[in-house]
Amino acid sequence: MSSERAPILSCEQVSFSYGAVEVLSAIFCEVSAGEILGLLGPNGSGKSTLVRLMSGVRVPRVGRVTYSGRDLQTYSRDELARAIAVVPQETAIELPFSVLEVVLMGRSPYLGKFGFESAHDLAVAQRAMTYTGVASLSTREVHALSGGERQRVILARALAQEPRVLLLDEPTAFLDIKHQVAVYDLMKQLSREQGLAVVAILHDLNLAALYCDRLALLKAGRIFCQGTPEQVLTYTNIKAVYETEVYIDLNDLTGKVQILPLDADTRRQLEQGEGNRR
Amino acid sequence: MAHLTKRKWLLVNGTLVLGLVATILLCATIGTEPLNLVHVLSASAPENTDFVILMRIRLPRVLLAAVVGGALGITGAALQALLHNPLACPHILGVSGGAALCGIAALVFVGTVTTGLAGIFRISLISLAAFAGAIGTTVLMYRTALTRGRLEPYALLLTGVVFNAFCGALIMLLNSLVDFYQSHSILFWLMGSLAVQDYTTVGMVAVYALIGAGWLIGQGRRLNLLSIGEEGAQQLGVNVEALRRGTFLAASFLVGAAVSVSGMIGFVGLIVPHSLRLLIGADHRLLLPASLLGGAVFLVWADTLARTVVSPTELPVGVVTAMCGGPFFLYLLRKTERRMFAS
Repeated sequence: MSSERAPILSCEQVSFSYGAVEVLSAIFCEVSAGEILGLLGPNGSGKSTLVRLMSGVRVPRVGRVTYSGRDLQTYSRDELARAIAVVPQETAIELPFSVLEVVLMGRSPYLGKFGFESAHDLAVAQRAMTYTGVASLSTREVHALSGGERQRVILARALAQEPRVLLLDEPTAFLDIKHQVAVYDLMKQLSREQGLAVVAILHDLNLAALYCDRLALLKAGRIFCQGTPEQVLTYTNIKAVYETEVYIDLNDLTGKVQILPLDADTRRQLEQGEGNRR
Repeated sequence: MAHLTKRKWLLVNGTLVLGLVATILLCATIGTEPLNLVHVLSASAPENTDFVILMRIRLPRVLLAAVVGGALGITGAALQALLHNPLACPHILGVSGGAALCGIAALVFVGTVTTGLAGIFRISLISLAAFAGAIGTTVLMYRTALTRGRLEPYALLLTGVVFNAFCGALIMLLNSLVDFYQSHSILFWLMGSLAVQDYTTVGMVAVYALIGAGWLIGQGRRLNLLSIGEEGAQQLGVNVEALRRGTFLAASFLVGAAVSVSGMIGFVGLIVPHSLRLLIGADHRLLLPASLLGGAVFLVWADTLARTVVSPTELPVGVVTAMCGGPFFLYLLRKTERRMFAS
């Protein structure tokens, strides 16, 4: 893979507000094919809104979001859906759709107004289900599945869109650690093998360090800093953005940054003169 | 449920079309005076009284039941997709109530002012009022339940229940102000009836219903996406705002048409789509046309039951559908609740 990759999705000086409240200001960030960009930041820092802008669901008030160099607004809805897929935090499905039916909905932007799925669409959906490990559930009703299974179904639906960019809004918020790791392993595999560009919102700083190529740390609607996990996940940055003390070092096994929160007792001990440790 | 194929689509809808034709023919022969189809067709009018009964009384009524049932069935399916909730139906959301209230108001006021006017003109005025009522209620419901660009399904259901009670009270108020004859027609609106209508009315309602239903069926794929989340649908290429408005408009169009000729017939839009979903799956490309046809079959049978069970007098058809629908709604509510709290 060449080191000089053109960004596939870019936010150029993007600002956005809900009513009078500015939620994002002067955001500049981009992601290239084969790259995983992690969005970090406290609750309410504007991460989800940024993902909405990147998917074209919301339009920036100032600046623009481009895909392959062209403003998202110049693409048709179906064109965008073929290029960019989103996995939300949670999807509530009340009607009795089967797993296969939901995954096939990812083929929707490729169908005509009243078209039926072709054998090719079916093959793409099957492949997506195999990737996310839900192929054996294909005929089950989605609302009868567990949260983890349902999330992998939605991930399969996103993959069935055959996108070039995958946006994940805290996709593993409600999953246990096994399923969290499975989702991110898959994400990494897809970005390496198929050149998928991934933007993921994460709450878990350790998972971010483990899986992301680059991180952007948001604070109050602005990008506080961005760069490699080692550059971003420092004691000072985390203290400034999350307003909390953490212990940071390198993991012997993975060679990645690891972050541990500290309890009140430990923090008190630190304040009593031991000084900060990096 | 296996995914939808063209073959399955044709098979299900073909079966339902055949079922509907059979239902219409069969139910037209059932009644206080049983008719023999062979005999009916063997001799021609006017000597043949059976032929007259069939063509003048039974057939228009059966056809009207089919049109109204179809309209209510498909509207229920579409509203359930829109609100991602199997409990939605035009009756429960108060759309039928709003249409009936305006229709009755028009009946009372126009009726007293313009008794001299030609019948057809009066009927269309009342129908227009019912349309306006359906659309007005829908807009009101929509505005109430829309918070920050998101539809809150349970807020909508609750608003519907309250609005229904409110409409009911206003209708009772009107009822207590008018004379006996008008009071009788108000009762007709409240309980729902498919009694004697001429072919012109049936034809008019059929045209309205087919326009609304045709548009909805064309949106099947998009309604699939919408039914599992607004933002997800948007990201999959659906213009959610336009689809929502269009669906509400088509729904009020269909309900307005149905209510203006048959009054408030409840629960068809609840029972039909739900039962069909169990049989054929939730895909709206198939569910919408199937609910149209299935609703038609259901209401023709319900009306046949209504006019034969205590023959020679008859029950209001709304009583029959409500007797099926009330318990059914409670069953659905329990099932949905359990699922919501389990996950």
